[in-house]
Amino acid sequence: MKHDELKVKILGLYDGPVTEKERLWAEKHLSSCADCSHAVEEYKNFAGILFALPTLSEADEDIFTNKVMARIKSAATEASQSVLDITVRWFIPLLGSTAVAAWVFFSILPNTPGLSNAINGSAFFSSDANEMNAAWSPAPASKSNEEIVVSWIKE
Amino acid sequence: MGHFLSPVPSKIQQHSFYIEGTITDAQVIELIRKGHTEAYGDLVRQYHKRVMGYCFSMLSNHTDAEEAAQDVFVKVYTSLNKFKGDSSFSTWLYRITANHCLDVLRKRNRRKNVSLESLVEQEGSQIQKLFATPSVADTHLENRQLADKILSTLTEDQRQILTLREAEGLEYQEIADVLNCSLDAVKGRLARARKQLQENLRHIQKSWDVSNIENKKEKGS
Repeated sequence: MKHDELKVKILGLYDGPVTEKERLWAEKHLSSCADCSHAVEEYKNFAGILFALPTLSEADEDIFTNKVMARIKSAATEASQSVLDITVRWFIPLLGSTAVAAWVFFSILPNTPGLSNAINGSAFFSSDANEMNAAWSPAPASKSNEEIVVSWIKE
Repeated sequence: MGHFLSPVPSKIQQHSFYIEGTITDAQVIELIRKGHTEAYGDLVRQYHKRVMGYCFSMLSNHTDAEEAAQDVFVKVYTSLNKFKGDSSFSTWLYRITANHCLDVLRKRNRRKNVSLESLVEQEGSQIQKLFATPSVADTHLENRQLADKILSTLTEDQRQILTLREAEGLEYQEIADVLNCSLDAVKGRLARARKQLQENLRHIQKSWDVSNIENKKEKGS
């Protein structure tokens, strides 16, 4: 590898995944080439400054963790609150109005005189069992056309 | 069984899962899924420094970094069911953190205003001081802001990959896993980002030297 190419790649060789042969070669080159070793040192220096991390104590850690857990807790409370809101706002009124409608339909209407037959044309809502049976029993058989014609001829 | 709404346990209890030294991240996650939500506090403690460090390097502001780190941990908690274990938890966590910080950076939209020339003009002398006295760089707020301005001359992707390598010390393969790209792509992108950073710094240095000489000449005449 030429020196110029190496200068570009030197940091990759310095800290990247390389073969043992490449690593040894880079180390040997760095120890003998002042230009390259200066480039690496210079980079390490300003990277250390630009990417310096803040110092965090255990107390910071505790405060931070408590804040995160509190946020999670309040998010969960909000989520369950919103489920409750939906239940209160929609489900309960819906259930109530359905119950009222069912009560009116099954209890009030069938007991209103003349209304039940008018609605269905049958005794479906009637509380009288006989009336209901009568409504569902087959109609009496009428005379066939042939029988009618025969009776006319006889007359 | 622990409950979501249970109070945060004492410090000794908080560290109980990891202190034993035998429990893995996957096992802690399993505990959380089973309802031991207080175990999530252990996971937060375990990764707090790394997530906070990454956010700080990307955002260069303690308040923003802490807020972002909190957002990340809340996001991770709500997405725990999506974690299938295909990669390690730390890789998954870094991925979420990296994406979140990129979003924050994009929202800030600061790069529009930062050019090398304006940086030299406004902060040239401060940059010289920063590199002359590196020992105060990590603590001094002004220096941190200055470092942020220098890093803002890079693209967000360049800043991201450099942060993963230089601040977090991730291996190339780990970076590839976090960024979901090949090892060769990491090598190429990292080399380009480093080269760009070196060039920017040299440019700042040169421009400052030139403007400094001109100023001296003007004063002399």
